[in-house]
Amino acid sequence: MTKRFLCVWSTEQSTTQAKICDSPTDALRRRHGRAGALFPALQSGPEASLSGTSIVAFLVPRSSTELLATLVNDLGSTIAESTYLTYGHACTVLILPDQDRWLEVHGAIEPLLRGFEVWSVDADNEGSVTKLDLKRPDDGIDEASPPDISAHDLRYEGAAQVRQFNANLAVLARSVRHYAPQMWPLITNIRKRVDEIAAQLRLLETKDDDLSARQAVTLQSVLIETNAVVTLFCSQLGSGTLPLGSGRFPVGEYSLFGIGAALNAAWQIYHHLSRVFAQHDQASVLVKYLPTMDPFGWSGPTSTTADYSAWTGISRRLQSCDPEAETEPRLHVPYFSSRWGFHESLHSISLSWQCISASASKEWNLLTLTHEFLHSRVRAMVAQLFNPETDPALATTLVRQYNARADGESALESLRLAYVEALLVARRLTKSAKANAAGDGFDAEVPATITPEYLIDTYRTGTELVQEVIVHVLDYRYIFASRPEDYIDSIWSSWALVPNVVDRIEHYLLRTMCTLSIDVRGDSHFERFETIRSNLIETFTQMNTRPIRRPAIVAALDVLTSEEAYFRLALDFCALIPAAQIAQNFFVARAVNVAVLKDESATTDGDRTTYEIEPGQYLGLRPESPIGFLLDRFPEYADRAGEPGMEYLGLWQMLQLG
Amino acid sequence: MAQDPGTIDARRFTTVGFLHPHLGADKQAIRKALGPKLGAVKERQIKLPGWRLYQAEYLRSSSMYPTHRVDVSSRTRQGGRIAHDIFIASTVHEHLGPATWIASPYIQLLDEIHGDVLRSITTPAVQYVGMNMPTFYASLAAGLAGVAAKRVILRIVAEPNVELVSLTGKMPLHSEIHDSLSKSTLPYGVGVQVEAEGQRCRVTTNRTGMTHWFQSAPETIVCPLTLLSRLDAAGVLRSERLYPLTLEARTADEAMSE
Repeated sequence: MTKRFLCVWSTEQSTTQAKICDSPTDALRRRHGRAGALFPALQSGPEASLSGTSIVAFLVPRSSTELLATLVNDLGSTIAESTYLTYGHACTVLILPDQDRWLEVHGAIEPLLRGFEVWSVDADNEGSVTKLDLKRPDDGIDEASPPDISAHDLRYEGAAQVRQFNANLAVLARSVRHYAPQMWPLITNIRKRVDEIAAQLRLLETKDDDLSARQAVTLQSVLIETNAVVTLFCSQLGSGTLPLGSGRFPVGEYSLFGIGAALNAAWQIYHHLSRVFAQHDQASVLVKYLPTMDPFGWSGPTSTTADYSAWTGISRRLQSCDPEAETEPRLHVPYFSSRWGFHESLHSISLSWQCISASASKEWNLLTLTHEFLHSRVRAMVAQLFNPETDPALATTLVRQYNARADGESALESLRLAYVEALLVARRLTKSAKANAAGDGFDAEVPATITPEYLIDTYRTGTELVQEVIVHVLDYRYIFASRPEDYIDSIWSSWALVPNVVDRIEHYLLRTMCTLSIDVRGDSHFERFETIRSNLIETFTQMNTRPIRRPAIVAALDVLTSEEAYFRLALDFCALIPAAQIAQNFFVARAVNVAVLKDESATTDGDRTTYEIEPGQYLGLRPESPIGFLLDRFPEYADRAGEPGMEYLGLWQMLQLG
Repeated sequence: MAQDPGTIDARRFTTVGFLHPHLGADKQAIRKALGPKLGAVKERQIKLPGWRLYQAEYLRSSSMYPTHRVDVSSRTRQGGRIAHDIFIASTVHEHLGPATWIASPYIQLLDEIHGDVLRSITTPAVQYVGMNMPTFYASLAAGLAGVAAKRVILRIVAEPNVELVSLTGKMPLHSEIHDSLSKSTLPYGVGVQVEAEGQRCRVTTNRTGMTHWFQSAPETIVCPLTLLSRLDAAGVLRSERLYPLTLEARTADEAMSE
């Protein structure tokens, strides 16, 4: 299937011309040139073309999956073959021979449309465009827009950012009302968060001390970053609104239709996760119930036969505890970024720009979004459980208990101590890796006694690796449904494209191996290590046969098969097992696991859950679990971006989510 | 001695429901939809309001009958084609509109009929009758006249090594184990005992709409049709674009039947 582009430009006489081309660049060089990709809705459908006078209808659906199901299934093969897909809010385009046909189709699909625009294009007259009809999408939100946040009593920097935010939010709210009402919770949520920041800033600016001044600067930088993200999101969400070509979205092949459908797919995935986690606040379960349970033994990370049965016993009891819902969950702005790739911050989550066109490849699949989401959740959960930086009394107590190897007074204290030990090990591993890379020696022992200052410093330096392991375990359980093959394939396909992975290859291997350890049986950690190592060698050897060799896979194989690295890797693996066990026993909640994947529209073939839908089919049913749907698609993803048909599959699957 | 398959057909029948305004309107419409492979069509009396029932012969060049039990000579028609009895029941479901249920002991034969229907009917596209299983379970738990759940089939969510679990017994829906399983499962299928018009029969159906029962006598068919009427009234039936007898649905069904 060849990607074709609808190319549109203005003439010197200010008329509009349009053509369908194999490349958009000629049109983009012209005055007001815009272009957008068109894919046939049917996998074997004819490529888009214009001949004679064509009626081109751009459709903004209420639900892309329902509209496409009707067009492709219910109105005959001619209409099915006249239907095309785009990445924008007008994600469906009909190319019809005459207006009568359009009116007939319109009668059948009118309730399914939010808006539409109709052109007549005369291919025999240099593609001259006559605009025939336009229905802008109605306001899909009943409630009034939130009022402006007050900039009163803020100093210049903060006030300027607040005023800018008010303006940005007004623009964003308009796009959301008409084109993406499902994103309205984001509007009210982010306004609330910025209002809270403004209130904190107002208070800090009344104080004279250095700490308050530093905190005020931090909050100002948060506002700046929030505005940057909201501005970018305004631009992306506002792209491709009707009438087409009226706005500016100067991004090459997305300049005509924009990327509204891609943003909607990202939002569906993100919002599903956000709702599930909001309904089950695992940190509050731990804080509420662990203090009522007896302490457990937490020490011994270097023991190769450590017994975690006490942890497992507590974990089982926790699974039957009633979850609590978060009162006001934070929402993030999900957007596409070519600069940041996959990244998360306080108010945003970015996906790599490549995901728009390559989401049906293992390298750029949309499930990677979940990893960033889980980072924000894990960070928040850990902060609720344990933060020696902000709680000096807790730091002192933990140090005393750690130095005495005491179990603590309750299971919550034991968990905190286990986390302290995991942090100390992670700190040692992190520093050892840096020293090895620099060719320096390093004392690899975990200290037997520590001070509160050492603990706080360790919290800063060791927390990244421990939280990475926890996030990976949650990713493996919740997103990849404990399927090791898909988990390894997904993360290593995406890591294979990140340059600095090779420089820290052992760290990445450790994360993977520790994650897999939670499901591998063995009498000792070494036995588990050897099992996982063998499986990874087999998997990476197979991945290494793909057409484009990836240095990260080669480097991983070198380490796994190296005698010199073997014992170092094995010892580091054993040392990090407790972090994986903390994740598995305390952070993983079966109820969350179920809620992430639960979907009545899915079925089973007896061996695995499936959605029973083939590419190019439109069943009119939006999956309840976007995660489950994408996971079902994953084994069929192309090994790398650019393989034939991959872009169509990616767009097709995005439109199933809308 | 080999038995005449036309007189017994005591075996497991499978049915699927087709949704289309014209398919089952009358004998002529049925003949048009199923094409030249449809042989004799006889209307059968059934004491079930809102239904019309036909017994028809579907003609194939080869036999689907088990050769060690059946002498097909009595089923051979003009041109050497072999007649296989099928049942066709037409009704109008309250929320879904006109529906035609076609039943046969042979799933492969239903697939062939499905192909015939798709070739002869294009617009609107044929849809199929599926089951809203959560609503079905809720209706059973609340009490559905003449219908008793004897088996519930649950799909386990987020468990990598287990997909389906089946609970059978007098009242599996009202059991503690079902209560505890329901937190991490989704209703997938159900086997119910249906009593109607002096007949009693166990009918099994799943979320795709694939429905089967053991037909000990031709009159037994009133049981699955009665069930469908009760489900229609309870709002359990829904339209699906996916043909119920996909390979995946059959594989899952076979897994539970083993």
